[in-house]
Amino acid sequence: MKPGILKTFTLYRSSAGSGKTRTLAKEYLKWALQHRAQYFRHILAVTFTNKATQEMKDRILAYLGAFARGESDSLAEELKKELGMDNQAFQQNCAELLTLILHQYDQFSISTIDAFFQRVIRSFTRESGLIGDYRLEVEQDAVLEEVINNLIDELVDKQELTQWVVEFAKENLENDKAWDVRSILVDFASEIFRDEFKAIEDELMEHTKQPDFFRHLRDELWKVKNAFLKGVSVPATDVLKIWETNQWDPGHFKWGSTSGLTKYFEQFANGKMLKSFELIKDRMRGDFLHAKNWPSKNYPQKTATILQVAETEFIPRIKAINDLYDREYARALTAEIALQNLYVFGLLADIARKLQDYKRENNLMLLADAPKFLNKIIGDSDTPFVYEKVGSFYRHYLIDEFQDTSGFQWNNFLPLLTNGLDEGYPSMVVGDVKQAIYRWRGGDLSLLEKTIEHDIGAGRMDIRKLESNFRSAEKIVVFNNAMFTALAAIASEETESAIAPSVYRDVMQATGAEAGGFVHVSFLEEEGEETWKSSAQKKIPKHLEMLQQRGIPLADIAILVRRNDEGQKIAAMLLEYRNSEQALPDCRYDVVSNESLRIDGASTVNLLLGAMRYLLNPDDATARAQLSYEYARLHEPTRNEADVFAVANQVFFESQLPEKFTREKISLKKLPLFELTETIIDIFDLGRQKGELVYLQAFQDLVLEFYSRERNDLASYLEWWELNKSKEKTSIKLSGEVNAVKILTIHKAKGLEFKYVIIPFCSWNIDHEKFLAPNLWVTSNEQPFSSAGYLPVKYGKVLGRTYFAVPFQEERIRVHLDNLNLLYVALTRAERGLIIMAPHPDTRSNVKSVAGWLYKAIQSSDTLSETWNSATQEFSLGEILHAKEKASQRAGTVELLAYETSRWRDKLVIRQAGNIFFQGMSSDTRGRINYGIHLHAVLSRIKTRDDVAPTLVRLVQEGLVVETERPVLEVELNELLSNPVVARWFELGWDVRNEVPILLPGNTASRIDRLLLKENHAIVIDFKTGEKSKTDQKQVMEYMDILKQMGFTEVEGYLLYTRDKEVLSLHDGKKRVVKKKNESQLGLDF
Amino acid sequence: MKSFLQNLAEETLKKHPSLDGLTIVFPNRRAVLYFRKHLSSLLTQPAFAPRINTIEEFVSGLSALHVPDRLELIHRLYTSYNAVMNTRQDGEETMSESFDQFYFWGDMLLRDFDEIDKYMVDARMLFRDLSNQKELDAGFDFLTDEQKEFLLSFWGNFNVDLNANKRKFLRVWRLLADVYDTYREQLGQNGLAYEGMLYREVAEGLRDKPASTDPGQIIFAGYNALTGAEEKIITHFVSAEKAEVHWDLDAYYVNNTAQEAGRFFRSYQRHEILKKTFVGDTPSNFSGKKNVQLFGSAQHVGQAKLMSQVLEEQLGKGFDPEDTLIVLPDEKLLLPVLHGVSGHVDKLNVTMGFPLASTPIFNLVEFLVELQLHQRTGLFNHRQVLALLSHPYVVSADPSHANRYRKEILEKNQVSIHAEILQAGPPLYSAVFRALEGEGLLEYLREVIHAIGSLQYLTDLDKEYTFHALTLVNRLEEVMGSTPAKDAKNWRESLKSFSRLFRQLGRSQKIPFTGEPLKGLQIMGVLETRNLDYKNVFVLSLNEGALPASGNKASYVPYNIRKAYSLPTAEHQDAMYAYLFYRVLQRAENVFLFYNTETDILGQGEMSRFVQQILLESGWKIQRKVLHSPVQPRPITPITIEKSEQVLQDLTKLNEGNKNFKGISPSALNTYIDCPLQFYLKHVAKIREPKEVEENLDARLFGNLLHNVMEKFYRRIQEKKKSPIIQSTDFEHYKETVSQLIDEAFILHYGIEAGRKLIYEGQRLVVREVIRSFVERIVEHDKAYTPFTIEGLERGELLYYAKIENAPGQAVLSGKIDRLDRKGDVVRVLDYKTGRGDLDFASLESLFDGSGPRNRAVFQTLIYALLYRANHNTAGVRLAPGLISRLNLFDEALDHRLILNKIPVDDAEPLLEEFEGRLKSLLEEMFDPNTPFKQTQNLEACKFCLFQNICYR
Ligand code: SF4
Repeated sequence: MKPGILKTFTLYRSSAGSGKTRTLAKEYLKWALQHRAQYFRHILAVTFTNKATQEMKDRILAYLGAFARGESDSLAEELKKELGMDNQAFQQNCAELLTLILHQYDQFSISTIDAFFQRVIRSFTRESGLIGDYRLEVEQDAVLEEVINNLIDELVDKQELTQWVVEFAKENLENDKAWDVRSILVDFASEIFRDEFKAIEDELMEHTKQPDFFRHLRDELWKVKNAFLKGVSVPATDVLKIWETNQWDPGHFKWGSTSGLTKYFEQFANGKMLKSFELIKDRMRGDFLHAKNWPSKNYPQKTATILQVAETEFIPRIKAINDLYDREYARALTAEIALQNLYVFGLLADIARKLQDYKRENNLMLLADAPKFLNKIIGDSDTPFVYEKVGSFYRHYLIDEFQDTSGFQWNNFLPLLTNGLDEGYPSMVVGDVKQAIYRWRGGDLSLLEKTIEHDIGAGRMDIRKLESNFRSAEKIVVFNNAMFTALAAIASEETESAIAPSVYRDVMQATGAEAGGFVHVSFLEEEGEETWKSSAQKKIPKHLEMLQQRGIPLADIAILVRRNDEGQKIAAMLLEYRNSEQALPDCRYDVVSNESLRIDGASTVNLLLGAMRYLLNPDDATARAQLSYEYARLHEPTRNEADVFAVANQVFFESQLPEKFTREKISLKKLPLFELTETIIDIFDLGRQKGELVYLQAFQDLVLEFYSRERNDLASYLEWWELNKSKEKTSIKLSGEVNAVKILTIHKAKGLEFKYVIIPFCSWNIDHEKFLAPNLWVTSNEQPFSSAGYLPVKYGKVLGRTYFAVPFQEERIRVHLDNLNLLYVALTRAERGLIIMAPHPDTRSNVKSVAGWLYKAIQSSDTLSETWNSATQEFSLGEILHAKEKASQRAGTVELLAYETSRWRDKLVIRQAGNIFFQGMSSDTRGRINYGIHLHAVLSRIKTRDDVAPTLVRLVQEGLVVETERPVLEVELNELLSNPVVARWFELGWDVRNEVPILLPGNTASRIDRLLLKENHAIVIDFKTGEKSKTDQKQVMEYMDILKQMGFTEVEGYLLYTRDKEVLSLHDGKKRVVKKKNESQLGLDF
Repeated sequence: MKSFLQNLAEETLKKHPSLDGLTIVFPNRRAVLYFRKHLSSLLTQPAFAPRINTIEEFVSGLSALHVPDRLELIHRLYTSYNAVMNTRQDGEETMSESFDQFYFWGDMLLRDFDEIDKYMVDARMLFRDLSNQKELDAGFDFLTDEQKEFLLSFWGNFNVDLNANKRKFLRVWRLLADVYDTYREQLGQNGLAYEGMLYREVAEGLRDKPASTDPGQIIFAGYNALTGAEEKIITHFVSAEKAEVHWDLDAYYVNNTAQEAGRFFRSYQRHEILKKTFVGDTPSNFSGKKNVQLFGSAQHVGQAKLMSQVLEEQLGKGFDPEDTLIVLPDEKLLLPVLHGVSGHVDKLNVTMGFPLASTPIFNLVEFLVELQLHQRTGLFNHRQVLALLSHPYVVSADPSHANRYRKEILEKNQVSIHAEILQAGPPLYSAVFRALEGEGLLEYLREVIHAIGSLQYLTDLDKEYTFHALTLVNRLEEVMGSTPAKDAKNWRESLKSFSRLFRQLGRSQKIPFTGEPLKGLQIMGVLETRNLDYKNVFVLSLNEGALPASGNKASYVPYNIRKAYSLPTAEHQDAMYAYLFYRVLQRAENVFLFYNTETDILGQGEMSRFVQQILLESGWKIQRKVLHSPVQPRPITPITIEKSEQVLQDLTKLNEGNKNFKGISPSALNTYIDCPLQFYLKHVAKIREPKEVEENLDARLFGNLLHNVMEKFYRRIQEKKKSPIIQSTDFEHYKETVSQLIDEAFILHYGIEAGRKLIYEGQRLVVREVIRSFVERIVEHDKAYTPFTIEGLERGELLYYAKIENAPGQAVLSGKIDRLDRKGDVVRVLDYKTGRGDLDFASLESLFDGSGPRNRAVFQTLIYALLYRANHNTAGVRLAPGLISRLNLFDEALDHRLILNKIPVDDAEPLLEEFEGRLKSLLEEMFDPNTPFKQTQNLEACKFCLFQNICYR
């Protein structure tokens, strides 16, 4: 083992645009090429998204492909130098590595962290035989919904849980929220998926398991609160009573009504809500503790009495109140806060428990459970056994996007990493604390900020910075350098913490991309009705026009928003603008946003849905309306709209649709889902709407997925659709360029880059918004809270006065940092141009939002204030250049020209066992056996009579015959076979061939059911299930002919109709009815 | 280029001119048919075909044993397994699992046994090693107590006593060898075997009885990865000079040791005996000139549609469908591909299965089981009944009937439905809606399936599906027998267990589409392509997990032991797929490859490694393209309804109202202000929401219940004392009264028959409590307000006539006033609001302005005030319209008064004049022939609108 002084672990701090994928790929190649041969199997690279995984794999293969062909670039040169290889060796090694990777592809270990964990857990559960194959569930919300539905369905009268739910419902009712508990509960309960909750879940379960835990806790808390209230209320009430008996009011005392006396005593005498208690004023702790300060000059005659009463009655009571307040207020307030959320606590604990049960019953693991699961399995072990099968052969680890790693994930990786490092194998990690914006998904930036150094050991850690920004043009880099340096300082000041400057210590970047670029920030004021937001919105089209006039295609522009609904509004506005007179003729305003990518954003899809809904329920007028409207839109855009919506009359409504639809309506209803959609597409000719084919395609993919995984019927599908239509998985994915402005949220934009970026509403809150404040899980060492363990409390200022002040402050710092990071991600997406609009400091929206910070930062930075225009309240740097290159048509793409759908059923030749089987059966089939079919099946299989019984057993095994039918059939068959003509066919001594193929020259073949051969004697027998027919006879004669050609001189032919048990004998082209079925019995007679 | 089978036919005929007596053995059935075709094209005279077998047929022909279906095999394994577990006297007791629980394990175990035998592995030794290894590393000793606890809580399906659990677990491993022996013995006694067992028996017995089973001269053709038993059998005949072997291979992958596709050939080339079967030069067709194109597309349907487009284009350029093959590694693509094969092709042949689980009949069976599962004492739940009534086959039986029943259930809000009522329908219904009592499920299913199969209008394909479902049900009955359940709970459990098993079986059961094989365009799965060559080849789903299929089949035998005993591993399987892929391309001239560009949620399913390989190694010039269609949904256009004659007529009719309601309602007016188009669609065009069985208690229902309870509360008092005057003494025991009234309201809503008990559970319980707190609050406030006089409860007969200029000259308004009461000179016009009911409004004007937020509730109560005033003498009366809603209800003192610009409205009279004026112009506009109905600009109004999907809002 090598001594620890070697810096085997590299941490790259990679600010925005600093080329981390290349860094990762290079490191991978370096290790793999250094050791050659199979060594690449020892490297594991983990990324956070599938996209990143794919990108890295592709890059490595592409590099290797090029290098193996002898091509070279800067990366190749660096590698050669660092590996000490000459051109030839390098080329050869690359070629070798490429071959190995391609043919041992399973060992090419680049995956997402989730996928890696799944692999580990699967192998663990399999090998240890603990459980069968568990089902992995990705959609935790759907599971939660189900759990909550069950929970509500199972509520029983007079239960603690029922009480909580009712309390929850009433609380919502009084707070003017929707009162339907189901949906709010789901929202609310998603809390249990947060890592914060998971971290304490087990402890929580332990605590709450105790019987009467909640009743007990509630009593305790009330006791604390009431004791305090009583303690202050008694003396305060006394004082007020004395006033009353003496008919005094504040006017009788010094400072009169401004003295604060009334407020003080009333608060303590009657106040019920501790959180609305005000702090005790200085005067109550100072002046009023001296009797001489009590009397008012206005009532000299009362001075003496007041002096005396103050001394003996008032002052001791004030002291008592103050004293109790100082000692117990925080505790009582803490109790009150905890009480408020107690039902939340109870509910969550119960839901978490139910969820656990649900998972257990269904043998299911949520994707998000995996990190914690592994964590638990690993425990404190340095060499965890779970990794024995999967992890043990890795030596090097590459971890991407480290700032988004959660504590669980990191702890799972740590033993692996440490093992490798201990044995001297280098590993590396890439991350940027400034881009940590996924805390709500468990990302923990403190890992990168400090934990990692502690866990790995500073001694063997080499921290490097990727210096240059290869994404943004110079001016944007300059702007962000100055901006975030200033912002970090501001954040630090406001939160009284040094965390932000520490996180942003590496924010300064050198320019690695082009020179130039521009940044424009404007602070908008409000005028009358016009809010800053509406004027910002109005400026968006202007900006788009300005950019387009400089030759910049829409596809190069992105609008970043904080929340989805903002994007929705912008999209709606641009649509309206496009249709208005203001729109410039040579400009476009097309948009792609999450919304427009919803599958039901397309007319054809809605038509399809309308038709499906109508077929399911013809009385559904809304379905009729949708169908009618979309049909008109597609095929008769000029139709009068009142007519289009005249759907109340079914006959009229249907007369407006293609005749084919009404004609086929009944048969459509009988189609399975997928065929149904295809047929509707065909009938309504939807396949020719070129711009919407992507939507149809995505819609049909959902149908395909649904029927192969769930069910194949219309009602189930439509029900599913209603629930899922607005979810992300049901939106189309863009697989390439679209000439439209992209609107997306900042979170979605992470990791992406755009030539020009507009941030129209740069004003999100720096702190939690009041109504969206999260629950914090807190503990306290003070009684009675300490014995309760973790308690959930709503984040809010009031916590500052409770025992939970510390966690509150921590959360406050974190949320500030989150929002600052969000700003960093937003401002670093642009390559060439960045346009920002924010509310002016004079508006309300500016306060407490990032806009305020932005403004301050510009003023406080020397670099930035230089180009600040105070007259227009605008900042600008650089200028917008005309686009250099023409947007080129992307090579290597193909379009669907139309959407082929055809009716395949007529074309497909299939085996029709079913058709024959059910033939001739009436629908009332109880107790009836289809003898014909079964007889045929047996006869064509047996060689001799002895085979009858075993063959029947086989038919049963194949499910064609039911056991109870077997004896009946056996009797039948024996009877048939005891007939001399038939019996002869099954005698010994023949060379028997069943279903014999005879090859005929020229590609045809014949198959004879039963052929008996003896020297030059041949008997041809065909069994038929249907009615007698001429063709059958012809066929047998043909067989006979063929056999003659083959040299058989004596040829007989027979037809046996199994259903009617009739035998036809064919001799030399003549037929003879050998026997006819006797109506009264099954036996055969001549 | 001559295909492999063509070459083979020529050679065969050359060497064996008399075909009779020759046996040719292929890996699968497709080759048989093609080979026969090639042979006959070489003939000049009719002749008996040589015996052409698949390897399975050939090998079973050498044995007396018979292989039953998988279900039976697993069930027999279940029996043997239980027998071993129960009879071994090792001091352990066993909990027996139900068959459906066992099925998964049994399937896996059977697969392992099969492989062990096919690869001729010493089973005893293997199981001993396996058991030892498990003792060593899978005992739970490596788990700390804490970890065990955790695992227990997470999955909990092992014993609480972990030690016992461990023993049980290890015991299973220890007894596997016994299970193996017992199982084989049991099968053998019944003349049965699983495939591996049969192969092994044949392979091991060859030396002893070669003469009796002499099959004559044999040709083995087209093999790649042989199992141990196959290898032994073939070697046996080859070394006896009874057989020749023909390999279908290519130098490209055989001679390059890096290519996994050639792995098995390379090893046979070194095989002592088989090596002599490699004669002549290794063919080299693969590297030849080919036209190769690679297409990427997101997801599945895109691939299929793109494929049709390319196919269409190529057919147009002269491709012959019969020279063309479409390979589908993922069966899911079958339907999309079938739909995409268009006009130029008039015949198709599909050689692959369609999973039974994806058919409508399977779906029906699931519904049937659920129907019975939720059935209580002859009552069915409406969900399943409705689902069944709209199932395609049930609809087929009698469309109008199905619809009538559906309507009835909806109209009557029938949460549960009597079996007899439904059985009275068409004949099929009596089978479908038979309420079972604790037994006879399979009977029942069979009966229904039979009835479906004999429906007149069922298509052939549906009959085929139905037929297969029937065989499955028959098999199940045969194998498992029907055991009547002991009690209701047991019965439900057994239903659930049945449906789990049925689902597992349905997924693995494939309905073969095999038809007339040699005609038309060929579509097949990957395995089916063996030995076949086509000029034009399309391969879809070239993604990891489809091709190569995912390697990790569940198995009891872990990797290291597999390796040690030369059992196949994932690499083995990859090599097999590699061969299949390279082979199907080797003689093709035009190759079109398609893959899904999107990976799954875990990032799996990327483009196949085989594609990566040929891209970087083959030296072919491959054209790469990605499907990228423009995203240009049809622009959203505004909807405007011009007031044509017809529209105006319909509009005028609103004045007449309907049987429940006269005139135009305040809520319709509200709708008009919010969005004229919505008003038009809903009230004029009468496009209403479809009916549903209301089981969940939504906001509307909540409102109904509340109104109902409040109305009754005061009616009772009035009836009792025969006076409308309410005093505080009337409120004695009001809590009980409220409880009772709530019960009554629920009973009414669900149409619960007299004598049956109303049970509160689930959401009803929550709703009851919420309503209770609502009502009690109102009542308490009222009590404080006593004495007062009730003037009206739910009064709906009041009308208001507004004169307007436009035709028809007047508008008739009406409304149902929740409550009118009077105290002194104050008449309150009250409305109960369960939703949001804010009292504030900025101005009368604001009530008529639909462009932003406005107070609908206030508007409505003011209309009520108008209605009151129009029908009563209001001299000397202060008319105080107001709301009782969740906003003021929980205040200490209830103030119902509307608040105009921060000032409470004590008397509406002064407001009403302006209000009437504005109302008039509103109505004027509504009836104005020149003002069309337009969409609102206020997106908030769209949020709860029924027509969102029409307006794209
Ligand atoms: S969706 Fe909006 S615009 Fe369309 S009818 Fe409804 S409210 Fe009016």
